[in-house]
Amino acid sequence: MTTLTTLNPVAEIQQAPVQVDIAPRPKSLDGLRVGLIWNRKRGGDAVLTRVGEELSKRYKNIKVKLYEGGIPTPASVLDVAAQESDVVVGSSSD
Amino acid sequence: MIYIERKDVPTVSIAAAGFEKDTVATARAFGMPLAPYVVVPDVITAVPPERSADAISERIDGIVRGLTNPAQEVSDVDEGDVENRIPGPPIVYEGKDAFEAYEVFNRDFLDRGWGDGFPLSPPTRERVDAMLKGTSLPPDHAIGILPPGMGVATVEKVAISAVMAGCEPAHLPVLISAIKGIMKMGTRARQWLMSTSPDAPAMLINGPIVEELGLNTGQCSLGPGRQSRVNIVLGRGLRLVLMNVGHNYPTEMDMDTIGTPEKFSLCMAEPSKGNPWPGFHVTKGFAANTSTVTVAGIRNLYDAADLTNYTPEGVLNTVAGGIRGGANYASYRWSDPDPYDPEGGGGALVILCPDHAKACSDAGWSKEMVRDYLWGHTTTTAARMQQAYKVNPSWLLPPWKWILDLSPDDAARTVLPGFDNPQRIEIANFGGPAGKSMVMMTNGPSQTIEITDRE
Repeated sequence: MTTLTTLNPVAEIQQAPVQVDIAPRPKSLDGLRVGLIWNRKRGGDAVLTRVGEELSKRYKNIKVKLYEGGIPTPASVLDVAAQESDVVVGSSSD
Repeated sequence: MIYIERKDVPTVSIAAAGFEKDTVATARAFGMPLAPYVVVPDVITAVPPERSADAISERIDGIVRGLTNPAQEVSDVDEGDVENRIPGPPIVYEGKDAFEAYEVFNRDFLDRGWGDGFPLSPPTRERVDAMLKGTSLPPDHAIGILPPGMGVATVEKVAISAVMAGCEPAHLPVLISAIKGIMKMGTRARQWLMSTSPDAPAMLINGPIVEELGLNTGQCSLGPGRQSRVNIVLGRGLRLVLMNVGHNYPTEMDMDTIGTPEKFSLCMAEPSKGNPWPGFHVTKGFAANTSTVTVAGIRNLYDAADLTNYTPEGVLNTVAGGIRGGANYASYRWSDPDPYDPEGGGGALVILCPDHAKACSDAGWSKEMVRDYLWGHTTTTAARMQQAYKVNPSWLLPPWKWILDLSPDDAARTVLPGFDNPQRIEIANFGGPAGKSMVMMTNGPSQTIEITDRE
């Protein structure tokens, strides 16, 4: 019997500070500001606009605002969206 | 979205079916594995917007749940081959003889997703140590964080993939410099490496190292065969480094719709002598006797054959036709990239073959004159823009909305530049005899890095 020993080629992934807990959630979306972040991928704007319409039908007094981002969306746009929104929906991968 | 979630604002991402692994891997790479997302059945960019909008209407409960449910369940999505996407100890293979042990190794590496499909060279401790002698850098030196998966690129991990590709120790510094170039592209590299488009990583090598390593700059230099052995293993080395160090694993963090054979290996070189113009790297600000590697994201290769013209204008009109053949690409620039990335949106890397270069240089044209002429003749029409954007005008960047108001006749008559500036066209010179140049559409400008730390 012959053996062949090789090294493992896989690199460790950069250890971004892991945050298991997501942000605290509201019980209802009533009266909240909903930010929609579009990364300018085709069709994402139509999907997000519809999300705004559907949520407006279901919840009272919500305010919807669409933000135009990019790939990646610059921090300046994200900061404004985070500041002006209580919850955010984004179009991401294709 | 994770950036916002970290600011304590609840988020939900919308992803297309088939992109779940990508979404989960990205969330993990950015340190929030439980970030909520909702999946729609079609690829949003590929179907009529109304269809995607209807699909999200049916899934609005999922959006609400993601925004209001404080206890996110671990997603039941197949996260893929998690155990083979983390570093591990050495692996022992057994066989009744060395050949069988090799076959067991090769099958196992391919099964784990660590190979490109062709037989691999085994990265034993001894062979990796020999590879490491090619650079003065220590094995545990971290070169940087390699996109798209944000892998920690140590010299040793690069050396392991280099051995697997069949590289020699003298090749290692080229790969190290090449990934520095990809890192320098920043988030744009992450975008094209993961793209649904066939964007392949290409290298162009310049300076004395071209002859020292025996790179092919002549006939069939991008094809198979003994004449291009060094080009082939270097290109393959970069491919395997991107996979095993950058986690650019196909179908996980490489979402290419069809794929391209260019992704197996694409390594070019300019001869350091005999060209009519300063080398590509000199154009980028390096001294002629400096060895460099340039990296670019290449999409599409077009043959720009012209055997019937002998003037700069004649030859270059044909080459410009090749750039225009990059078609969609020129029109995409008007919506993609986003307005925040002036470097995005692509360009062209033109390989001007020696015969075509000579036709230009004999007439007294500099490389800049050639570039500017090509830019001026790489055009599109407003009619084409209307075709691309009339259904969805919001995708056209605001400065160009007026195009949509033109009458059909005016739109057909209105000629627009394919690129916003001549610098989007880059020119390299190599190849064998015959009037066959080549156009490669690029995903943004290339990056050129000096090859250092050679032993």
